[in-house]
Amino acid sequence: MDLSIFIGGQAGEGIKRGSMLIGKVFNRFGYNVFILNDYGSIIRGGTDYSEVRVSNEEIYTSYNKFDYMFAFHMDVFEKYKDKQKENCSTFTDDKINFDSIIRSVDGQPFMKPSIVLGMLTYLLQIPVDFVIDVIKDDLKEHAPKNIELFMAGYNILKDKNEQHIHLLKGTNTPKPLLYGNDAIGLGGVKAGMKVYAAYPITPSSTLLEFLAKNAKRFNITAIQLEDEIAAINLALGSAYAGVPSMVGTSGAGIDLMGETISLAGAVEVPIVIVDVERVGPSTGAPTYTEQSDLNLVLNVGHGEFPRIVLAPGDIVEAFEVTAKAFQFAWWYQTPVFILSDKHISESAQNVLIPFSNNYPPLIKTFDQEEQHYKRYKLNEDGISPLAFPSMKDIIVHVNSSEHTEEGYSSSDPKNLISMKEKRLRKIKTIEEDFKLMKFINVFGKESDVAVVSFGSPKGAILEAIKDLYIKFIQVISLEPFPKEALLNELKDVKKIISIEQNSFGQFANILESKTGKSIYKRVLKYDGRPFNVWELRNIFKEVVK
Amino acid sequence: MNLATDRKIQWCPGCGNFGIYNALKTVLEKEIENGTLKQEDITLVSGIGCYGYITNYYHLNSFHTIHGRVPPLATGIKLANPNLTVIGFVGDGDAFAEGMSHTIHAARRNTDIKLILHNNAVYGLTTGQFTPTSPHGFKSRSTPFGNPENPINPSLIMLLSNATFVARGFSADLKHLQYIFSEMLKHRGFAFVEVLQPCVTFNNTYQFYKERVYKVEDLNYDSSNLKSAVDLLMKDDEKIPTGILFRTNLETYEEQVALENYYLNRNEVPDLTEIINEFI
Ligand SMILES: Cc1ncc(C[n+]2csc(CCOP(=O)(O)OP(=O)(O)O)c2C)c(N)n1
Ligand code: SF4
Repeated sequence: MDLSIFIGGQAGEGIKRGSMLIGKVFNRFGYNVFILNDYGSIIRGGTDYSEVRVSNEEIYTSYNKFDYMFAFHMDVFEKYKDKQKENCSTFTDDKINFDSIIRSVDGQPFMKPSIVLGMLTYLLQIPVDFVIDVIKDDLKEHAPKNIELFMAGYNILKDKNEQHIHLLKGTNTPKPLLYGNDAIGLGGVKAGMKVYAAYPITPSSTLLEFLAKNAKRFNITAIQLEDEIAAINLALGSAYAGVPSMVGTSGAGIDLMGETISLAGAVEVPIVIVDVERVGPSTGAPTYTEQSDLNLVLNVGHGEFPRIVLAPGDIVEAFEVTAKAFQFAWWYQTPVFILSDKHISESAQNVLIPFSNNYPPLIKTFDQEEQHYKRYKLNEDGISPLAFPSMKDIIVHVNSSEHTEEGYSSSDPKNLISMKEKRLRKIKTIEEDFKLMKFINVFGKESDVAVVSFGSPKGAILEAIKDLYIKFIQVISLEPFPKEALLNELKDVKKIISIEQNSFGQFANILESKTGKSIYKRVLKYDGRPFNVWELRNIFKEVVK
Repeated sequence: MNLATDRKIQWCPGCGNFGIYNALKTVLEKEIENGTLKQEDITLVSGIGCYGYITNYYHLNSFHTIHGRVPPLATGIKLANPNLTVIGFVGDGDAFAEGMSHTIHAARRNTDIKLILHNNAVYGLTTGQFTPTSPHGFKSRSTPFGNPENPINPSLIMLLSNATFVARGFSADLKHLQYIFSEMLKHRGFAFVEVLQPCVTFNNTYQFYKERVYKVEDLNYDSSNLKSAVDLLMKDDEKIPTGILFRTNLETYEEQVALENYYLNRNEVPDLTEIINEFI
């Protein structure tokens, strides 16, 4: 059982909120759920839809072919109707008068998804009381009207004696159903984040909104600043004062943060930076997904300094990678990037997130006995002991200008060399440490064909390799690049297929140059839509043949 | 108590930055001796410009940051640790060209930070180009035929941006500057002090200011009235008012956004298992 439900309409018709409610019902009914939100960058008049995919098997992405289509307007149906599976049931504006149902209970357009939920409940014969309980739980005081609409939807199909099936209760224990951005926020909180600063930009804004809404109970401050430059400078100031801080944005915002990312590298103050990628260049297509900022985050900021770039491949990893990003930023005292994208950050899945894991802050503390604190003390691993203002008998000078061990400005040639080399030693330390950590994932079967990728294509790839003799290597750490681990996994591989969502093949280029291996087939997609399982499967079959 | 470091001060002899450095040093040393401030609780931030080297010369916590970004950085420091007294040094190029918007936004938020503007109406460190505060017609290295732009008035901009403390001093009048700085330190909220600072090398204004500055404290001036402060700064005459131009008390940004979360050194992490039930 693996079914996909399409709910399409315009902005303002509650599509996103409604798909979450429907997802919740299936989650509690014991199924795996994945929700994709496809929406335009306009407030009215667009054709938005959500796909709620429900399965009793493990699923990792949207399916992009539908068993049920509910469309509040004909144009949204027309636009996507070729994605119907065989026997797809469609309920469009001309068959079901959604507007008049809304009017009949004096409801609002954004409540239309409740009608859909009623129709689905009938079509799949889910117990009505069970669904009503979920609505009550989810919508609280707004539940009564939505329950009326839900019943109206149910009764319309019942009265028509519409063809239905009987979906048995699934066997899964319900799991948290959350968006990737929620997971990133929770990962930060779990790792001790206290300040989150941002400027609104799709698809990262929901991270700011989630953290701002829950700031009190998370014991954090989540604030909006006048621009991305202010956001990252504020966060860096907080970090200098001893408080773990994070900023989040999308590509254009990373451009603006560039000078401060370089500053963070120079002053060796920890900072976690989330880039939720969208389609570029420039304003591009803000609500669609792409992986074209890889080169940017690997290179942004002038001069030479250590950095770490981590790309989660799904919502669970979004949580874990964020929590680890804080540990790395504070241990190595350098910028750490989390490279997400719209498909991870704004999709939802019910997942088992390791909330009980702890990610204690790791900090190299200084020797209290020492008379004279030196912020940039030279040592073997390039990581100097960290101290903060307000600590008794300690003065902390940090300095964007090249500095002495004490933090005073100095462009003396010997000093320039020793500080550069300190940072080079830090890069080396990070590289050596990362060799010991597992920053690739390997899936599938031993084979002489291997798929390599990073980030959100993971989901579609995992499903597409099922039953095929293909190995899938997912790279999580892009900097440092896990060259040795990859070479080891690619030892007996004859054909490498790379998968990424951009047109340059940025990841493929890096992989080839770092490992010296050549890629047999580069699969590049840049239509803003996530990879389809069935499209990838056809490509893979062709190669293993 | 001596806050000086062993660094050799690198400004041109006679630079107005000395006056600012010395006046603040005297005030801070006195505060520390009196026990009203703890040395480890003072944190200085400076941007990029000649004046920016100032943080090297105080034995105090400091962050010498990049051009124009002092206000948000200082805000972040204060937000993280409300016990700190955060003093930012900014240049007229730094805070009113590159960082203009940050300066205005910090003021209107009433962030509890102090900003000291070294206003020499010229880019010192990049050797003598005009700045947003240079007079119309000013011949500089990048305006050899005269500045085609009209100057801005930083104190006026700060008043109109809801700064809760606005003062102006002259770097050659140390006693008056000390008075202004100690009042600045007493203020809770965003404090802005513009210091008229001659740059002996590229814009020597000692004589010009000496002939024109006067102190509002010598007059019957009410510094609690925003409108009279604005009127004073809008007045189109030869005279230049100095002193505390305006002050009022409002809730600070940190008090509003940090709520009761005095989270520094509070490493505990909320129990997410409880929260996560809402996602099921
Ligand atoms: C982003 C950036 N742009 C330009 C510069 C070059 N720069 C260094 S100092 C300076 C002007 C400083 O003028 P001001 O702030 O008035 O300080 P002063 O040197 O006069 O004390 C400029 C433009 C820089 N450091 N960073
Ligand atoms: S150039 Fe001007 S501002 Fe810079 S140190 Fe010399 S006198 Fe001072």
